[in-house]
Amino acid sequence: MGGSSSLLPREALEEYQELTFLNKQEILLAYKRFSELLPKERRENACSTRVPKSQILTLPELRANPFQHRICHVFSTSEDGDDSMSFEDFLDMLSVFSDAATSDIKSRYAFRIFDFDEDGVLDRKDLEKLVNCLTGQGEEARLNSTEMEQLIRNVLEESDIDKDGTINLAEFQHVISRSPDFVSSFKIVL
Amino acid sequence: MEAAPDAAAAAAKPAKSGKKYRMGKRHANIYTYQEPPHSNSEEDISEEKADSHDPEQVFQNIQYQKEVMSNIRCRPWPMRQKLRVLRQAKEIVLKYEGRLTRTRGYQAAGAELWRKFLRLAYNFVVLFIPWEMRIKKIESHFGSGVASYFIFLRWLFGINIVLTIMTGAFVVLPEVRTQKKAAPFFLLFPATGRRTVRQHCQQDHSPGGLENCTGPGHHLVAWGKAKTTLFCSITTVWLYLFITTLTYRLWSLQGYLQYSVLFYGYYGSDRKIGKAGYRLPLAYFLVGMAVFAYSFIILLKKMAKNSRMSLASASDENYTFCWRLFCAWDYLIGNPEAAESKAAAIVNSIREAILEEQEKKKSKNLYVSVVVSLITMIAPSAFELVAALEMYHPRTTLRFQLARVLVLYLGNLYSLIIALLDKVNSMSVTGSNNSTPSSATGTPAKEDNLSATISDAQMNSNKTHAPSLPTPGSLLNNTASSNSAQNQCWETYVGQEMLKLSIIDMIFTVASILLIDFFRGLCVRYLSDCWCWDLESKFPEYGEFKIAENVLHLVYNQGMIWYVIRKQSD
Repeated sequence: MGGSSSLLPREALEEYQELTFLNKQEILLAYKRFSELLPKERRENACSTRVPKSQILTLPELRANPFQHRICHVFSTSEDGDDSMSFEDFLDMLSVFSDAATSDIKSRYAFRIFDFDEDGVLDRKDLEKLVNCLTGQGEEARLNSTEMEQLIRNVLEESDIDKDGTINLAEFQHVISRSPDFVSSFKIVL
Repeated sequence: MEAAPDAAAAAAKPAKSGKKYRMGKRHANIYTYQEPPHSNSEEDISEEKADSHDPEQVFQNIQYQKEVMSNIRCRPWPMRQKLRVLRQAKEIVLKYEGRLTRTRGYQAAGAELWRKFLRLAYNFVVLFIPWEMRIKKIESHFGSGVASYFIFLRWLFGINIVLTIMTGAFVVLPEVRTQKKAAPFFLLFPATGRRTVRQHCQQDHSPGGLENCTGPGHHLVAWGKAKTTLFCSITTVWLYLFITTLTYRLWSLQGYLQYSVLFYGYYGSDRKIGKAGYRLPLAYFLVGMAVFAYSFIILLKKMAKNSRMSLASASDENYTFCWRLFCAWDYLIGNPEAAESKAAAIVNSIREAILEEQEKKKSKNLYVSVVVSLITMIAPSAFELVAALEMYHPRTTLRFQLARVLVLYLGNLYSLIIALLDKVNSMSVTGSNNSTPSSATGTPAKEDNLSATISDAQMNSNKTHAPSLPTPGSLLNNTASSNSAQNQCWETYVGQEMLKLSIIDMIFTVASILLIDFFRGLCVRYLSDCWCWDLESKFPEYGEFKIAENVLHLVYNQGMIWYVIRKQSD
């Protein structure tokens, strides 16, 4: 820890503690892991460098996640649209997925992650893509079209209150807040 | 602001002025334009109030800024935006705080210091939770379900440590200190100090009096025999005899263990012991009460906390499909194998839910189901066959399995309690009367129950221990008859039985883990290369960590411990 803590300025560390749900050790650990993703010569100013998506996805915590691409896209503030993440984006991500984060912010970001076409609502296409992500690549694991149809119909029936065929943020949060497992499973810890 | 694609731009609000929304060209979507509730009004307020020197309003403004600062982590904004808002709020606070009166300033500063202290304390305390790193590793490897078992285990361990400390500090330590000889492993060796064997049985309910207690010569002779046997054999024979001797000692507990300070009831009739006059019997009583009360309170607290958390989210609404789709994935899984099995589990659960909904629409013959349920609970071996024939839903199968395990455990405890009560009654009834017939009837019943308990415990771990059963039975016979012949106190008996049960349980658990899971895993992993069929996907496979069953086992063990403690306070 000795080397990395000297590279992260103390003032920035204090600010990050106020702006995220992470404590000091977690931020320093995040800094260490983030700088390991960079090639050696660029590790000096890890705070202002961007790491390409392919590197981020080599992290073991994200490697096995079916929503890895969506997560990178949602948290990345890259202006080129290449989903590269800076250290602050990385901290944002860890903060939302941390233990101390509130259920409200987790459900907001979960909604954004599941909204594949980013139109602000979850419609049928989003739900279909969601299911296909979850079930994986194997042919027998995927649901056939009847099952898919039934599943989506049931999901919309349960959650769509205004019956417009889509799930908006409020409806999503209403359903998620009543789940006992969501907060404990929507977690990533380094 | 910037050129955005058609529909999104049309649907989106026009960009607000100000530095907050300069997001660049990247995310031309609805989320870029979502307006954080207070940000604009905060600017307005600060500009308006810039001219007002009203201390109250200034103070309100500062409090508002501080509230913004404390809530900033709950905003779904990117870090840059949050930083900007934070710095702005800090600027305002700094600028206007100088104008405040002293008392208000101190109040606010005090609150700020307190918050800093809390944060430091939290950072510090987190370091001291035992096994935190290990459990986090397990969590990241296998998911939060498996990790919850270990968190539960750690909590139980904490409770037991506290109980041990309470008992040790107030009961064991004073006893130990008042002994003349301090030997290594003093807890296990006989206390040959001030306490003689005679006084051990000095209770009201041994109507036979002091003469009928165990004489001191008995265990010394046996100990001498073991020593000579040990010293006079070659290595393999020595090992064999050593193991059997040890088992005999532990099993019969007729030897030195009987007189260790850890055994309940190890006090005489003196009210005070030692130089300081420590009231030992009172200490026993109070420690018993305290232990009981502590366990009760801590259990209630935990239950209340859990029910509060679940009440907050639970209601009559049942969002099965939504939950199985949105909340099913465990983001802690980092292992590709675990991820695959989790994905398969999710698919299965979705299919199950679809099936169940279709079944709800059909009508079922309830009478047949009830009869079948009874049969499956009584005959575990026929259970799987019946379930397959009935083509039951996997969830009902799991429910029946858990119910069977629970009924078995409850049956064990119940039969143990009944047997012990019978034995105690028979012992106090026969009293000084050395009639073997009545005690003989007493012992087979207990022995049967104990072996029934053992056999039930074994069936749970699916092993056959037929060869080892007769030996404990015959040993029990010998020792039990010598027990009743000398009219031992019932507390010693209860303590011995409980200790035996705990040791058996521990040995079988360790053995079953080693054989069923560990060696099986080793065989499957290393032999599958040179075996006819793929061991990893067909027959032996890897042992699965059945969370529900293991948790039930933990609850059973803890229940047994508390039962013993409860019995002590009688």
